[in-house]
Amino acid sequence: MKLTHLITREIAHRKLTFGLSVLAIAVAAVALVAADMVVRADALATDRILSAKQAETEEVLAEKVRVVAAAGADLEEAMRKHMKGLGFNVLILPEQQDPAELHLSGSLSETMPASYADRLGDSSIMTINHLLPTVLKQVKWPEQELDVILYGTRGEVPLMHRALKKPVLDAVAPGQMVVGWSIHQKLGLQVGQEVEFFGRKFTVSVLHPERGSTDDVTLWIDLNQAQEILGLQNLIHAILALECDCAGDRISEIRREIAGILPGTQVIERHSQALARAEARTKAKLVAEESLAAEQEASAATLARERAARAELEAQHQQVAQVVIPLVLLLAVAAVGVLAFNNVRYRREEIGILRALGLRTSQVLYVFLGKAVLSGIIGGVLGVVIGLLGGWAVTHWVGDWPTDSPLLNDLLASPGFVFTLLSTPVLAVVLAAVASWLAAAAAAAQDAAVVLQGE
Amino acid sequence: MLLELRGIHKTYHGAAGGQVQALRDVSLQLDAGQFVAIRGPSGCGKSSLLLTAGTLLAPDSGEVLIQGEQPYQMSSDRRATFRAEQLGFVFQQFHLVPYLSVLENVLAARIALPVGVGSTGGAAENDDQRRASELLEQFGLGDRLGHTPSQLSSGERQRCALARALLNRPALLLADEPTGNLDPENSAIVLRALRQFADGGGAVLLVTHDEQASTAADRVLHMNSGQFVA
Ligand SMILES: Nc1ncnc2c1ncn2[C@@H]1O[C@H](COP(=O)(O)OP(=O)(O)OP(=O)(O)O)[C@@H](O)[C@H]1O
Ligand SMILES: [Mg+2]
Repeated sequence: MKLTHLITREIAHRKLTFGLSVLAIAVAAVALVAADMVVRADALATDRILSAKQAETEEVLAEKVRVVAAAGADLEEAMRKHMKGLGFNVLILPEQQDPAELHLSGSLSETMPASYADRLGDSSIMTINHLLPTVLKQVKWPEQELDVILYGTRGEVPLMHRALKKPVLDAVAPGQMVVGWSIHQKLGLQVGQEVEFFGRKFTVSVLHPERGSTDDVTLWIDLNQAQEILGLQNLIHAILALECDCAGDRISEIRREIAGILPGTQVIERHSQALARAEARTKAKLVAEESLAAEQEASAATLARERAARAELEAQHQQVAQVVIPLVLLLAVAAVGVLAFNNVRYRREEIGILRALGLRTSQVLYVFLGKAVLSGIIGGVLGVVIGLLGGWAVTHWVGDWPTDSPLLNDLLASPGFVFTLLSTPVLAVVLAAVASWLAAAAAAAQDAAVVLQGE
Repeated sequence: MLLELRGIHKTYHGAAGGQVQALRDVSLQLDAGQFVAIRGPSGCGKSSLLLTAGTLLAPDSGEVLIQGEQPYQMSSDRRATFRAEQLGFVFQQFHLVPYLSVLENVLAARIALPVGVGSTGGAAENDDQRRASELLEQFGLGDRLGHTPSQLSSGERQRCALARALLNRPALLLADEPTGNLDPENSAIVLRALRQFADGGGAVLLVTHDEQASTAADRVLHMNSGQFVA
C-alpha cells in the first residue's frame, strides 16, 4: 500500500470537506479567469470599437477629401481656362466715356466709329483674340413699359493675321432676341415666341438663366438692328476684347498697343464671368476645406470621447477586479485553511496510529499536502473551465461584445490569456498548499503519544 | 536482551503549571520469548511506560534500549522506521483508520517500511496481501476483508488491530489495555494471540489494570504512582 492510497481513500471517505475545499479554490480560480477575461475582453472590445469608429470617420473624411480635391480641381481648371483660354476681358471705350456709367447702369452713352473694330482686326495686334463691337444702352421697352439694357452684338470681327478661332460668343442673328432672366420671368416669354420691340418683330431665340448681374436685365439683338433702334448707324459704344493673352500684368501692354492703333480710346478691365466662377469655386473649395477641417476635428473629438469612455469602463472593471480578486483569494485561502485545520483535528487519532506504525514527519506532511495539491488541481481546472464558460456566457449574452466573432476565439489567440488559463491551476495548487500548510504542519508536528495514551 | 529500560523518569507539565510525575526511576528488562504484564491503578503511569518503550514518548532521563539500540538517540525519521521494523502496537481504542478497509488497515503497517524491507514491488505487495489475509483469517476475519472498521464489532476491531500489529513480524509487541473494551471471549482470543507471539520468539509488554488479563503473562509487575512496587 502506498501513501497516495491514504490520500485518495480519505478523500473518498470525506467527500464533502474535500468538495468544499475544491469549491473554494474553484471560486478563486473562476474569479482569476473571469477577471482576466473581462479585462482582456475590454481591451479587445476597445480595439474593435475604436478601429470601427476610426474606419468610419476615415471613410467620411476620405469622402470630404475627395470633395475638396474635386473642388480644387474645378478651381484649378477654371483658373487654367481663365488664365490661358479665356484670359481676361478688356473693354475698349471712347476716351471721354466715364466708366462709372457702365458700372452704375450697365449702359454707355459715348460712341466711336464702328470701323474701329475693323481697324483693330486689320492690325497686327498680338495681345487680344476676339473682338466684339457692341452698342450697350439702357432703354425703356416701349411696348412693355420695361427698363432694359439693349445689347447689340454682331459676333466677332476676324483678326486678319490669324486663323479664325472658334467664337467665344455667338452673334445674335437679325430678327432674333436673346433675353435675360429677369425680363423673361417678368414677361413670361417662351423660346420661339414673337415679341415687338420698338415696332420691330423679334423671335425669342434664347432665354438666359439667372446670372445675378446686369445680364439679367439685358436683351441681346443684332448689332445693326440695335444701331438702327438707337439711331447710332455706324457707331458703337464699345469693343469687347475677349481671351486676351495676357496672364499676369500685361494689361498695361495691351493698353499701350491699343492706344497706338485706336487713339482716343480707353481700355478698362472687365470683371469676367470666368473670374466670378473661379471666385465661386474658390469659395466652394474653401467651404469644403473648412467642412473637412470641422469634420476632422469632430471625428477626432468623437474618437477621443469614445476612447475616454472605454478607458473609464476598463478602469472601472480593473478597479472591481483589483478589489474582488484579492478578496476572493483571501476568502478561498481562509476557507481552505479552516477546512484543512478541521480535517487535521478530525484525524488526530489516525495521525497518532500512523506515527505508531512508523510514518515519518515528512510522510504525514505529504498525506495532508498531497490532498491539498489534489484539491488545488481539481479546483483550478474546474475553475478555469467554469470561468471560461461563465466569461463566455457573460460576454456573449450580457455584454456588448461588438462583433460576430466569438470572444473566446479572440481570447484564445492571445498568449497572455492562454498563460492565465495554464497558470491558474498552478496558482490554485500553490494557493491550496499555502492555505493547508499550517494545518499540515500541525498534523506533522502532532505528538502521537498524547492521542495514543487513551484519553 | 530485547528491551531494556534503565532509570526512566517522565514528568508531565500541565497547562496550569501543575506537574505530574508519571514515571519515577523505572527499570525493566525483557527478553525475546517473554510475556510481561504490568498492572496498576488508573493513572499510575502504565501508558506512559508503554509509549516510552514504544519510542513514542521520550523520557526526561534514563535509557531505553531495544535490540541493543537506543531509539531516542536516533533522528526522528530513523526512529520512525525503527519503530515500523521492530514494534507492534495494540491499544484499548483499536485506533483503526476509519476510511480504510479491514485488509487495508492491516496493510497500513507496511506504508512506513522503507524500500527493500520486503515491501516493495508487485510480488512483494502480493506477499503482503497474502500475509495480511492469512492473519485476518487466523483471527476469524477472513470474510470481512473489504469491510470498514465501523462495520465491525469491538472484538473484531481489536482482532484487526492485532493482525496489523503482527504484519511486520515485530520483535516487540506493546499492548495497552487491549482487552479493556472486549467481552471475555474476545479477550481470551487476544490474550491467546499475545501468548502465541511470545511463544514464537517475540517479546510482549502488556499494561492493564485487569487482573484477569495478566494471567496469560510469564511475569506480572505492579505499578503505583509511576513506580514498580513489590
Ligand atoms: N499529556 C499529559 N499531560 C499531563 N499529564 C498527563 C499527560 N498524560 C498523562 N498524564 C498524567 O500522567 C499520569 C499517568 O498517566 P498514564 O496515562 O500513563 O496512566 P495510566 O496508568 O495509563 O492510566 P489509565 O489506566 O487510566 O490508562 C496520570 O496522572 C495522567 O493524568
Ligand atoms: Mg493508560
